[in-house]
Amino acid sequence: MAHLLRLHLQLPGEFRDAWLYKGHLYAWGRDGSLSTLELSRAFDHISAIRGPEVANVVNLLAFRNDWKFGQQFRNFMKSPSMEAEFLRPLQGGEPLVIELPPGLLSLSKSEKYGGAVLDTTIYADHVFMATAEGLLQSFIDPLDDTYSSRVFQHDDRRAFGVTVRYGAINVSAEERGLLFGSINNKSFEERSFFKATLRPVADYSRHSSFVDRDLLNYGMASAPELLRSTVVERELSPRTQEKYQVTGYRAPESIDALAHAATTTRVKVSNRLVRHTEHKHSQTAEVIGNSNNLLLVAWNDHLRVISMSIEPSVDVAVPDDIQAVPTKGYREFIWSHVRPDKILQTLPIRAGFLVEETESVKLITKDGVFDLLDEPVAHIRSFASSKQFKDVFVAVEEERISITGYYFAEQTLF
Amino acid sequence: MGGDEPPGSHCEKVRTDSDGIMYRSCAGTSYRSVNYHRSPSGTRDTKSIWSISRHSECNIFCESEQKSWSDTDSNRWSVAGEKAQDFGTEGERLAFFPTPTNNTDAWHGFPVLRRGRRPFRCPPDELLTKWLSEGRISYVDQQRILKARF
Repeated sequence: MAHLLRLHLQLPGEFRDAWLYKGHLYAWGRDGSLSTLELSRAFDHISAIRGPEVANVVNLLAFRNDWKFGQQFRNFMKSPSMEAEFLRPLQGGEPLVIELPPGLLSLSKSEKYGGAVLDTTIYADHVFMATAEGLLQSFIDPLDDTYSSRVFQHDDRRAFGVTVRYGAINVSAEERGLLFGSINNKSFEERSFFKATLRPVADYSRHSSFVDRDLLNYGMASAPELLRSTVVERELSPRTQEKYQVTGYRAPESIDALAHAATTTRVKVSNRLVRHTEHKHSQTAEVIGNSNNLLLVAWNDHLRVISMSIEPSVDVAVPDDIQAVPTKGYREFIWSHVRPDKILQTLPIRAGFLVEETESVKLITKDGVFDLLDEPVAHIRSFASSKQFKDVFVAVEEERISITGYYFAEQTLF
Repeated sequence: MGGDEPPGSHCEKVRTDSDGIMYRSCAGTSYRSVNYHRSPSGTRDTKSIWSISRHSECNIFCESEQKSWSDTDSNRWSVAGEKAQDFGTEGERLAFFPTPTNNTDAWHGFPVLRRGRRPFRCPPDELLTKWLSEGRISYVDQQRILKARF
């Protein structure tokens, strides 16, 4: 059984939201002010105060999380003595907690937005804010901490959530629908504002989540709708290394029946074949979140994980088929570990799923369920699609921000 | 009165009828603690169920009335303080009191969850800010209500 070793970096203060991006922690105060923490400065501080052994662990588990998955590091860690020595700062059974002084933060001169912000995301040096006054946007420059930006308005419809990738802006606006718009190419290059025209692509949206370049829209149904994207190739920009630009979405396709069928069988099922079947079961499978193409499904007092894939059609007149199969690696998780009705939200992370409960944040992986944070949180941010922060998350708590990283080691290691 | 009573709110029981128990609120308003939000049986639709006493239910209404915890449609809201017990049997910590259809009708209310696939409507942003500034809710709770995780 793998043993979870945890690292918590804590930054005291009253914050509204936070995001890890290109070597920085961006943190918004509750008055709307933006502060930045250069992670290399934090590394130097930790190295000076706690020693290079601790700073190196922090780098691997949080600041340069991509190194944790590098072949060289994994080869080094195959030597038990080397692994034990490297992980020594995490020994002792308790998480390694390091408090960072607020003095490491630099206050930006960017314009503040002090209204109700329901969601924030950073993409390609653009900051998008889903607010009561609609979708707002500003810019950041990770190469220049003195850079300041105005706040611009894309749209005035109350925005509940926002996701952005592949140049696509997806705004969840509840009963106003899922709104889609594109980032103007000049906006990438010139860091100047171009208002996006947002148009509805689904009737109702609580939140959305990418599955590669496609999108899952969580609405009122027990499973999200899948929106297949249409894309064009684009030139790589210094601000984003994505090769494709999403230009739109096809009509949403329900995967209610597919999720139910895949949860209650052991074989791969096709949405084309099951979509017209009626469920006569008292327990309908409910998709409560996804980590890319893996769907976390609550069914009959259990949580299950199913894997969704797209089967391209050989006939151009026939749409591609969506298929799903139970994931063998994940066990069935009984309610004693995680009760589906107690989950407040699910987020993707490289190791599996992060689930927020009222008083804690848990991690669901192929190896089981693990407690990661024992605090109620206002927001959690994970970065599964980023290069640098795939297996780390940021939590905004009542009186601090915490950055949490982790490492699975054999119990016999120490 | 139970330990979950809001301070300074006193409801007075008026009578029992077939639909529930009628109270006079601290502001003299008629409030009925209805039977169908007290027991899961007897209604076609699933109704949320109070887990606090009927008297406490009225006192919660009373407090929302006294403190003008209302939205633009004059519906009233309440929220359980950090250490107070849940309002409902499913862990509901928000309560909603819809404006009566007719002026002569009594008020009634029920506990609500603002989470899940069909999150109940949200208290207005201004009311959430008021609750936060008065120390009724924490910042975490305010954000959770806004984001339908409460």
